[in-house]
Amino acid sequence: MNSVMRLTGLAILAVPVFTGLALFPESRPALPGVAWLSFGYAFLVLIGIGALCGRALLANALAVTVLILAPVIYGGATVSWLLTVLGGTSPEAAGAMHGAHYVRLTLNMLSVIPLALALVASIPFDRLELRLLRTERGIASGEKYLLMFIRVFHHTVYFVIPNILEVMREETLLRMAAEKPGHRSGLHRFQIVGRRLTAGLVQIGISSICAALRFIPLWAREIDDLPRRTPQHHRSQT
Amino acid sequence: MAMRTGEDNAMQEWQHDIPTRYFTTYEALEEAFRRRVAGLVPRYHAGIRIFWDDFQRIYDRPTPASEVYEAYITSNPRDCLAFGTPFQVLQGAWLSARRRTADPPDPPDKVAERFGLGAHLHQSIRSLSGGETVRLAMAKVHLLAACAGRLTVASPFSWLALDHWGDFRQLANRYRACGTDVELFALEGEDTVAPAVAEEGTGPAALPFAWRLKSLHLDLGSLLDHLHDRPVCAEVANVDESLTSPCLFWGDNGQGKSLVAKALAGAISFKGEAAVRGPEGVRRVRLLFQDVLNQTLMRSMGQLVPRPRADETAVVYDELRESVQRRVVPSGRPLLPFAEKRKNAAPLGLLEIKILLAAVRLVDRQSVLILDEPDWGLSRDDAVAYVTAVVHAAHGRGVPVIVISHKPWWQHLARSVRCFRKEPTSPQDAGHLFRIRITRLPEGAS
Repeated sequence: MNSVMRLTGLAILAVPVFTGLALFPESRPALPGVAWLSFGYAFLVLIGIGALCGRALLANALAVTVLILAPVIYGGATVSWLLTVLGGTSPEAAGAMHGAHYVRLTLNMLSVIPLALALVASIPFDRLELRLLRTERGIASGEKYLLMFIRVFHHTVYFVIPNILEVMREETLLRMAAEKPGHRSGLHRFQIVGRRLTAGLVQIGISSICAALRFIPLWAREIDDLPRRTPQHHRSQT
Repeated sequence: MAMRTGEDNAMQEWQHDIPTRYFTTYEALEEAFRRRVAGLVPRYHAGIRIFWDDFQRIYDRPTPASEVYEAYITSNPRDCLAFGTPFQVLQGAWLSARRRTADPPDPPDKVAERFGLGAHLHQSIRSLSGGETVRLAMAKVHLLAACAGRLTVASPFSWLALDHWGDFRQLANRYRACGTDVELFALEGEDTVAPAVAEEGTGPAALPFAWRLKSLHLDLGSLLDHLHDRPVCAEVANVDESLTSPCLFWGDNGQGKSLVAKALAGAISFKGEAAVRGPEGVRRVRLLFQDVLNQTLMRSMGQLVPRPRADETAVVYDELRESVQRRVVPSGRPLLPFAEKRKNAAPLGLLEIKILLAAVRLVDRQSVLILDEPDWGLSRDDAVAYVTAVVHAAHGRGVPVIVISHKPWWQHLARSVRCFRKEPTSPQDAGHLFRIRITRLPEGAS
């Protein structure tokens, strides 16, 4: 499937959730305040991404989504529920007040994040870079900014992330972090595993940011060094 | 082991008269190289604080208009390529060169053909082999010869196989014909091809192990490559045999040695079977990457060795450290014991990082330990002492060792050698970039 068809398909899928259009406002509720069609739409988006971009990308996009979604939803729902209970509402009523909102938010995130990731992944940035450089007439200032953006994106996607994944796989980092810490038991063990996992993920995050930024001055200089396009010249293919 | 100077060996073995500056440590070489190329290549391994200091220094640095336009190749040639595909790298260099000179250089397509990159022009740089990356860096520098005021190259004897030295000399001569200065930065002893021989009676004992590769298909790209229908797979010929440690995986630049090692260690995804049976049975394979600086992920010593594993690691680290120090006086700073080093705030040197990563991997007594280009970033004497120390420590724990190198002089330390050769795939194998063949005897060894 070519990039245009893939992007068109994803754009059609994205219209309701990115524009906020309520396509089926009167549909039957599955839960109080949450329509069956909200579930159906989230499911349709995931199926669509799988069909358009492949199961591997869908699996990775879902993994990223869950990593973002879990702390936001569970943390947010817990804080809201606690504040409502502290305000004098009974625990059952407090749950009923915010439950529908967080279910809708979950379904929304399950659509928005994978769609955004799939859209970005489907843009053929390398071809764009090639097109910008295929010139004898020089490169406009705006195109240089675009080249810089593409370079950072490419470096992050093709070098930084694969390198970090290779190191993590060789070290089986996540498995080691989750190993049973000695003879500790119960909550203490859970705390140690949680601390190790958090420290590992923070370190990987810092390392990936630094690796992504590492060559920016070098690229800035090389891109700045490209000849500037003069106004009277028009683009032509070499 | 007596220390040799690089200058003695340079004229005998690499046959060149290019001015060369020799350094005792990787850190000293990189520092001098960064100063030469206007500080464009920041340090990565020295920790987050130094990373940010470097980043700010480079970013804030004004570029004087009169500055000499510097052509250069970094000690890891991939670090000086600024675009996504070989065509774009060459086109960028061509545009820059054309801007500065009235005499237009050869077009990128022609230069690519000349450096054997014609078939790889639109391939992602990530999926280029080591040899193709080296040729691309040379092709870029070739284009810039028309306008550069100086050419500086870091560690060419490390990343270039001796068979390709003629190509490099042609490149240097092109610059010199234009009256442009060329200078090499190298580590001591990096430019020797004299066999590495262990001292009398202390050579590592042989240790048998077996390996098996069956229907192995390596995934070289990222998810996005698959999405954009780019072929990113390589095939490896089947192997099922016994080997003797220390074993050498040998072959020219970019023949797939590191790819197979990464598959064995599970660092890249693959289909098929890749396993090693060591004395303890089929267990995990551990690998030290060529670029160990990237492998640390900027982690400190405390993060690389969590406290519960510190005592076991300290034993192996100190054993390796003492073993290295017995064989050679390490270049640069003295090697501190593990306990002292752990308290010391100074960043780890490259040799210390290599010792530490090897120690961490030897603690678990896995199937095999693979050292990918272990001499990268080390002076010749440090490299020989380091590899010998690791082999002794590993064999003492029943762990076989595989050394990967394009340098034939490691053959004299090895008890078994396997030669890697990349072959083109047949038209029926659509989607595969190439096939890797592994043979018993080196064919046409240098």
